[in-house]
Amino acid sequence: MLNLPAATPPGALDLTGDAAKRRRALQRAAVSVLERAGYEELLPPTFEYEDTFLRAGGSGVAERLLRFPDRDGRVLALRYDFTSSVARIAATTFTGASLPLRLSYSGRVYRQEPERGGRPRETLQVGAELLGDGSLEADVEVVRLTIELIRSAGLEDFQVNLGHVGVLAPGLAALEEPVRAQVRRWIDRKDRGGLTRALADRTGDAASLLHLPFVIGRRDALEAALGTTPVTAVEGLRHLLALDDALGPGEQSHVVYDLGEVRGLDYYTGVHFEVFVSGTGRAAGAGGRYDELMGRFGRPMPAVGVSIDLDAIAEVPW
Amino acid sequence: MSRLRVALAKGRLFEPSVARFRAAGIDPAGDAGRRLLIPSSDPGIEFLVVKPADVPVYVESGAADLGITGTDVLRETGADVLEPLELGFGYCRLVVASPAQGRYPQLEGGITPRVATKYPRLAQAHFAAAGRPVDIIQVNGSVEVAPLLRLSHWIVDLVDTGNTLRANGLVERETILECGAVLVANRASQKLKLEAYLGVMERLEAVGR
Repeated sequence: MLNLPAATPPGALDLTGDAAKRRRALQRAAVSVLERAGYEELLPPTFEYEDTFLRAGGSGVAERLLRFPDRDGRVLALRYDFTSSVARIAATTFTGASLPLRLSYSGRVYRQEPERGGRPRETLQVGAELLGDGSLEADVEVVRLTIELIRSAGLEDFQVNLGHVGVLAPGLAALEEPVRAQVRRWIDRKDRGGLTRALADRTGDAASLLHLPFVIGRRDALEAALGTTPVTAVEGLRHLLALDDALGPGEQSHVVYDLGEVRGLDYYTGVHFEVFVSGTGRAAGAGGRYDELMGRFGRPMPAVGVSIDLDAIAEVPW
Repeated sequence: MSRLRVALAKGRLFEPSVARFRAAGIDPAGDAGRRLLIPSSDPGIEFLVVKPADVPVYVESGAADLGITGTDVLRETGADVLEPLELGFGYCRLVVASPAQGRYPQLEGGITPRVATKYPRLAQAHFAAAGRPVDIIQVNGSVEVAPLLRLSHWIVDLVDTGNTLRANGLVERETILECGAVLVANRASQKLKLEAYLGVMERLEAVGR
């Protein structure tokens, strides 16, 4: 028996050689970007009461926690994300600190994957949270920081797909359940046929869902959409245009405005984005504004942040 | 412009899939034969021919940018992909079938029904949602003979005309899912290769109407 190799659980990773070196180099580069930008690093615990992650309110968290019982029977979970822990710490340890808070982190997060194949259940992340600043400038700062973080990996072929929850919200609010859930599913799958059949005889805000989810492009795409957007959704579009105004040309070239993402609608409260790097089949980062997050930890204040998946980036040939 | 790789499924969806691309002016060069990657008349598009159950896997991972698959396979794998276009062919139904002579939906003597299927997840989800305990057995072919051979009491399988079921003394009892062919796309490549993606979508839509 003792001569057999020890087994590893599915989705656990041994990283060695260049895979380890590349990740460490990426992590160093990212951490130094965050330091220079004035983001103070936190080292939150690797495990928390599961309630901390559930309370933060991300969708699908309950199904994906890696849990185990504590000695007293309370349920612990491995770190699902850093944002939950940072929010908890900011609401307690940092009560006396002046706002805004600029906090950062790097380390692994743990998430259950569907039981098919042994997809990794741990991911190396770095990220930042800007707490207590609800301004457009704060959004701009985090988008800039995101671009800088990806550049610190030596990559130039990437894009940040940016949307605003206020754009689709009026259209969705005009629908009744269960149609709304089905419509969200069609938008998520980019199924124009399904949407067209469901919304063919709708007028007003609901009819905006026939075209707004398919708006994707640079600044001119947003400007073109202004004419066809319900009055209630115009503010979101104007916010994105103002954000675009604040970016330099070297940043604008990495930003694509994309109004068709519905996944974060229950979590984000303003701008939200995903990062796509050429050579990966999945998003390499995500972020946005979640002004309701801190309230769930007892200290309401605006919040905007980003997290980058260094494992996804490490897979890109460079 | 970025090159797009399209995964096509061997089997019943293959010919109509190729026909659709041909009509859109995207002609696979030569015959599929044994080659895995097939160039096309459009330098921006190449084809990949794989087993039907693998199309969602290739597209979800990004090894292929686009694919054509049936909603049966897609829902069974639970792949997280875009589904921008229903293609209007390959229609069939995923059904529960049982021997014409046997009792349904309860077996005699309170026995828990055994169900043979190639779709264990969809079958499990269907019975679980109705609160009906069953014992699911996964098989990879010849599902319709399972009750004859006493492997299972019932089956969950795809039905087109229903002839195969009748020939094996089975009766359709419930429909789980109406299925058809769909175009699927990788979530990241739809963003990174947007122009190429929109171009192909437009051409496929134009010939579908």
